Amino acid sequence: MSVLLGLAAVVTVAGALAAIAGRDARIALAGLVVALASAPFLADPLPTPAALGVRIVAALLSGYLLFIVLRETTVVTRGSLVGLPAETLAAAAAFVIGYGTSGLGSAALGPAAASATGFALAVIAVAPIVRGADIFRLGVALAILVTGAELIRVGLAGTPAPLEQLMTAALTVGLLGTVAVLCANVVAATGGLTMRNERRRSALFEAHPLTPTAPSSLGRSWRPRRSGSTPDRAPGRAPAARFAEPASDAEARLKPPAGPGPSGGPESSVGLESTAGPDPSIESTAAEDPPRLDAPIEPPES
Amino acid sequence: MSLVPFLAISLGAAAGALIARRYRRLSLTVGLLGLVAATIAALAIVPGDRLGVGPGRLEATEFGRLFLALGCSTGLIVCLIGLATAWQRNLPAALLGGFGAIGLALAIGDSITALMAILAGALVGSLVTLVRPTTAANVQVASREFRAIVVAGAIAIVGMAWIARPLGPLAEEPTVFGVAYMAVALAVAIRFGAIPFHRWAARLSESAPEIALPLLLAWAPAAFAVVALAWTDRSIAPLLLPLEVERSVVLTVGVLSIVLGAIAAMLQDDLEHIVGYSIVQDAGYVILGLAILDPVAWQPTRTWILVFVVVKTAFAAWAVAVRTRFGTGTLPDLGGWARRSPGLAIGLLLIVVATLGVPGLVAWDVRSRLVDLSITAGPLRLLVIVGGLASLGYYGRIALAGLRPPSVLVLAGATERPRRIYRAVARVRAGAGAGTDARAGADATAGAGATARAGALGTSSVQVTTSIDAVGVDTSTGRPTGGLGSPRAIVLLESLGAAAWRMNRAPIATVGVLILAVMALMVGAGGLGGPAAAAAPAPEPVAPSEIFVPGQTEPPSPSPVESRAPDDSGAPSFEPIPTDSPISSEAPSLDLSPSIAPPTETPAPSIAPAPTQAPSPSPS
Repeated sequence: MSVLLGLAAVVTVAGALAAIAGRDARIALAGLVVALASAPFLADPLPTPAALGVRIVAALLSGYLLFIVLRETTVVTRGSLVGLPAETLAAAAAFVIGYGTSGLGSAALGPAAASATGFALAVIAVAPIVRGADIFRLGVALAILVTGAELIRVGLAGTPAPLEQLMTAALTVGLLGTVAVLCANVVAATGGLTMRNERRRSALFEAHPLTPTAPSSLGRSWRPRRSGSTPDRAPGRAPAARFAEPASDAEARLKPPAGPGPSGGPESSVGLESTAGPDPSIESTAAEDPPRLDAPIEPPES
Repeated sequence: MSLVPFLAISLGAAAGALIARRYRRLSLTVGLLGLVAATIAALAIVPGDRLGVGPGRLEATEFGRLFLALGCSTGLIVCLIGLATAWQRNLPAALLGGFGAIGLALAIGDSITALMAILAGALVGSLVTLVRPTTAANVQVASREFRAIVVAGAIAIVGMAWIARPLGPLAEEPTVFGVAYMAVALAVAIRFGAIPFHRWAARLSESAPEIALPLLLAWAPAAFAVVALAWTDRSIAPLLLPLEVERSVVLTVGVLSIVLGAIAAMLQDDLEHIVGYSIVQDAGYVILGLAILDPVAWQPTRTWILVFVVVKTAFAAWAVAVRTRFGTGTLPDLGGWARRSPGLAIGLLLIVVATLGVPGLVAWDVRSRLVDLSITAGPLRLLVIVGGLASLGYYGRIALAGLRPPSVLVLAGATERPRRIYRAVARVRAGAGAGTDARAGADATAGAGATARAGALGTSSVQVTTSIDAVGVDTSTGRPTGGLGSPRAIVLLESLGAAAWRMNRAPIATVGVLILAVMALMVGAGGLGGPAAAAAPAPEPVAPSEIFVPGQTEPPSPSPVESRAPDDSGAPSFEPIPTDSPISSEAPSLDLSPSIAPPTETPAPSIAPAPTQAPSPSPS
């Protein structure tokens, strides 16, 4: 493995790790752009300068498309499910396996470093793809998966032709452009990047959740609480009082205006264009949610 | 190079429509004009034209020309139906971008490069899944499709790349080819949403606009399948390897899709689910085509792909027209739809005939041939034949609902007869009012949906009357004061045109569905040169990177290898067995030289994946 190949491999894997494990979406985006821009250097012989330029420009452009969305919203994502050390170790193991099995039983036309990096990227991308409730993380993981597949292809079949490099660049822009559009839509719908209508917990692996993950539509927890022994009273934890508002108030909020009205009654919501109506639970949560998704749920001022 | 205008128009118009998205009329105009121009440009493609791109090249083919022409023309009609029913503003841009990418992919000989172009186009196309108002659930459904596209693409890229090199001693292991083949075939199954990979497709059918379902579930996956079929036909099928286990897995997916897709469609009450599962079912035949692993499957599979995409587009458009017209897509509420709408009934009949066909029609023959080639005998064959005919079950269920007495919602639906604008204006002036104008009084029990529709129609009449009054019309001549060329007249004409469109949305949608149904019947009957185009070879790769040469350990030379006449020494050969079928002669040939046969004493594989003799067609 030459120095350039080794450096490109390390930078690519490090960028992918930052993209997957970073909780600040801008850091994650920077890591992704670094990974995408350094991936074309993992080839022997190197692609033509024009092909390299196209790939780098595509990485920067696609990163900028995502940045347009992220700069106007809260930029915190869920981060890694298993933590950065575990991701790093898994990537390292996959890298070693990929390097050792380069060619998959036969002589490869490309460098072993490309196969190894491809394996590492594929392993890194698996968890968010399988369990991705955050559209940004899902999109980033899919981009890393495609990059990993391309690197495995480079390792097996050699340096791609310029036309393939061009298509790869178009695929990168199309992929992350689509992610940007989806991110913009989910931000407009929920105020954050998550696609599920549930609150984030302050700790990821909390055995006993301190608060209900989502408020009941009637404003009460379905489980009766024992007075005096609820953990809600512990300092720094979210109180149940926030969700224990009178049921009549909550119901009144969720009810549509009574009777057909000229501006927004039931008549106007049932018609030719009412293919997908807003989910009242989502709206109610979005209205109550703080904009930052990672912020711990603080008790309101009583 | 005749492909360049098509690419420039489609991709340029797609970009223009997306950029002008904030200006709705401009975006719509750019999109619709782009589709018209792209249809013309697709028809102007000259098969065989080549364009060098660096060391690679683009090559126009007859199949690509027909695929693109059908796609753009049906896309244009679908957009017009969408304008008359349930509009999705990203649809023209998504169609143009998707078909531009497909046009590029079908002209590229290298399968991995073509696959990447198709993936990029499919990702842009997936934007039509987002409907307003956007919710987290909508985005989640879009993300499922997004995930399916990318995962399928990644699997296929690795599968294709694995054997795109000299394999050395590994070439003696059929498992290597089997795994690569299975990866690509299962990627196609994932992309189609074939059972058991159908979850995302089912969710998509629920959430995505019905008008976009053909693009999402039929056209884009079909292009993916065309590329995968070309790769299989070039890299796997000619080797005649004993890949029975891998074939069985792929075959099982195809059979499951055909049988369970029909059952699922029969069990559903919502039209969009029926459309979704019918697409899954018919995609099962494409999977069968991939499971045959013989060059003789080339032509019937590609013919079926052409029939499949057009028929499913017509069916989805029919469902949109029915849902919008009657305000419901639930079968129990659609009682009597056929009585109230003979045009849509005729459309459904044509779609059924185009899908199933009758003996002698191409749709019937290619389905029978695919079943014959993939499953020679046994209960599985019977199961597939019954499963194929089971689509009559859900079509029949829809038809039976149409023959029942009309339901309240159907009675309240808009009429299929064209409405003349001056009569509506006269009624408004006579004091009929908005409510009585659209039979709201007669259908008072029809519920809020019918009332809203009636109100909308009545409002159109009132708006036109108001416009006429505002512009000023000479009652003695019936012309606008100031003459026909005056600005007032232009305003009036615009108002009249918009109102006429609004009042005649139902007949416009019906006419669109009928046009699509006739196109489907033409393709299903073998018209428009479908079978001939399907038999044409795919573009050849410039560099033989995908061509496996058994026993070769060095990278293949870019220059073509001269073939020698086969000798009679009895040495093992990987050369494809000649068949009696005329199709095989037109299928892409494998660039293999008998002089570099594997250095082993093992005889040539004798287990052919499928019979090379063309069996007689049977009902499927």
